[in-house]
Amino acid sequence: MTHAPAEVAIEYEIADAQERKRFASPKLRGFMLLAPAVVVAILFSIIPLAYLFQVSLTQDSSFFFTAEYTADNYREVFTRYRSAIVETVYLASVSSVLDLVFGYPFAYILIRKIRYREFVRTMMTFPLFGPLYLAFGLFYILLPNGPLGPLFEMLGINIARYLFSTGAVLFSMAVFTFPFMVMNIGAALSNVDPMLEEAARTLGAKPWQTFTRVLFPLSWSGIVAGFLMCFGWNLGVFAQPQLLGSPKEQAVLSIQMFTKGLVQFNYGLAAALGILLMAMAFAVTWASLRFSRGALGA
Amino acid sequence: MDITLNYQASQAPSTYITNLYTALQSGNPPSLDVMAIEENYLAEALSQAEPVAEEFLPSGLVPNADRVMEMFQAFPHGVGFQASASPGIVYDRERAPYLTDWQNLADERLRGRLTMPVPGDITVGGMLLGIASSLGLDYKVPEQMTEAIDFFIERIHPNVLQYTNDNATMQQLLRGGVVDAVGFWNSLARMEFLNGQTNTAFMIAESGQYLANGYMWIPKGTPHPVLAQIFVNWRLSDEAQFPPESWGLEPGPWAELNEGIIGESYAELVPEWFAEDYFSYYPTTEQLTANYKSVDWDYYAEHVGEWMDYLSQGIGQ
Repeated sequence: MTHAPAEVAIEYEIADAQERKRFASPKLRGFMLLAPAVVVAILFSIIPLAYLFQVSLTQDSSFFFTAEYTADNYREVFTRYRSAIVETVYLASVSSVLDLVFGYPFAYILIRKIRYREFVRTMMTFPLFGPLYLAFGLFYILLPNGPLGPLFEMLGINIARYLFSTGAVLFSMAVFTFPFMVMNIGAALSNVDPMLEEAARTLGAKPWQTFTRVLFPLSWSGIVAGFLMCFGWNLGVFAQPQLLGSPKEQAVLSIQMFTKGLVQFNYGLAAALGILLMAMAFAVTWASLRFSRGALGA
Repeated sequence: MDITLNYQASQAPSTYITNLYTALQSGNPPSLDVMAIEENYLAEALSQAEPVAEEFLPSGLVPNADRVMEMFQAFPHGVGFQASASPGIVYDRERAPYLTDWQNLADERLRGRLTMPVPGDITVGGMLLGIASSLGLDYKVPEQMTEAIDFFIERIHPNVLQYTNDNATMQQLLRGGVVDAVGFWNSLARMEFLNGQTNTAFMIAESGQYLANGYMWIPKGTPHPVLAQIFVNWRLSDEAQFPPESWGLEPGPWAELNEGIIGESYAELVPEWFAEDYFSYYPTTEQLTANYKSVDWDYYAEHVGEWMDYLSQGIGQ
């Protein structure tokens, strides 16, 4: 270890003392440091959100409204759009379960077995470039006259059956959020000492016992955080059901919101749907951060 | 002097209206100088409590507006730049030869082999008007329009594979044989036919076809009102109505761009390569006035919200 010479240390002290004079109070210093973030949050997050909430309490299809407040939009959201809420939560849940089922073994292999894991991690983040690309890609693959059409035909598979299906939507949603699951579980697994697995094996534990009694409990926080993160992202899913879904999947909240607001000019109802979606996403993000502590070592 | 034109395109033209209202409501100038969208949106804009469209016609800067047939003039706010745009059914003649009128969309042979536009847009609005007409109902009588929408919900919706406004998706599905018919605009049929998809046709409904042409209008407070008028005049010029060879367009895209003859003085501009077949694809000016149905767009703008809301609710969208 090297140390700074005494003269330099004295200079640091003097500079530090001047700085302390300018922002003598630690409270003031804290406020100054926080101020830019607070201003940005107020300007670009709080004010638009407040306006969105105000619009969600109004009726009729005009921006030129005179504020006559009503809770009707929220009543409609929880009655007429109940099935849309169910569909949204269903798709987000099942795709997150798919992520977990395939993501856990992948994360384990990535952490324990793969030599060039940085390369694999980089490859794995490709889906994050955009759900739209993914959905379009899958759409063209599933077309009978698409690039894999002849192959599917040769294998006797009527691939068009899977176009505009729940399966296609779930698959593309799961692929999009797969990296979140792997990253969270991977972070949790990397904190588990491989010696513990070895000790379990030495004591006669079978692989499944090692998994259920050692690995799984120790990576639990990563599983929960990964699941919630995937679930949260998928709550706002738009492109995949729009491009690959049947009318049933196209009923998800984000598409309803787009249609109500931008196609049918019902801004109040669209805003109420948006507030609901945001409240759900906020709750999930909060839970995700809360549970990710163990996994991410924060 | 060179003028740069920024062209913004969307398959959900209603977004332009929302952007305009947002700008005006927040005290900002409109982001677009000219709106070139279906005429129902002009009616929607004019129905607002505050004016959102400039009164600019007739204008010395837009002499071409006077060449446009009276039925396409909406002076002083706007002028039509299309003559035969019609929302309807584009289908494969071989796979669905039975499609001759709106009611045929309820045919069980179409189960899972039809796409329709997203409820709310003028595309589906035009179709609802067509369905009402096909059932002998009057769209201006609320109960009768409800009956027409119920027909859609109960008889046509079960056949729908997907709701989409994306014509590239529709093209792929039709070409791939995944669907037999798509709900869109007549221009798609022309483009597909001239691109070599000779089985693709537009269903000209026996009960009649509604027009929903594009109109140009200038938003209130636009930063470039003069340039806007120069653009409107150019869009109505010979060149922009009947693109010359120098534009390098293939027949398919050419026929997608050209939307018919908007006035007598344009009739002589039909290109030689298309002269023989042109009127198989487009109506003559006489046919336009005699055979095509026009819509009371003020009534439409006033009631379309209720119709779409009822339809959306019925089909769970």
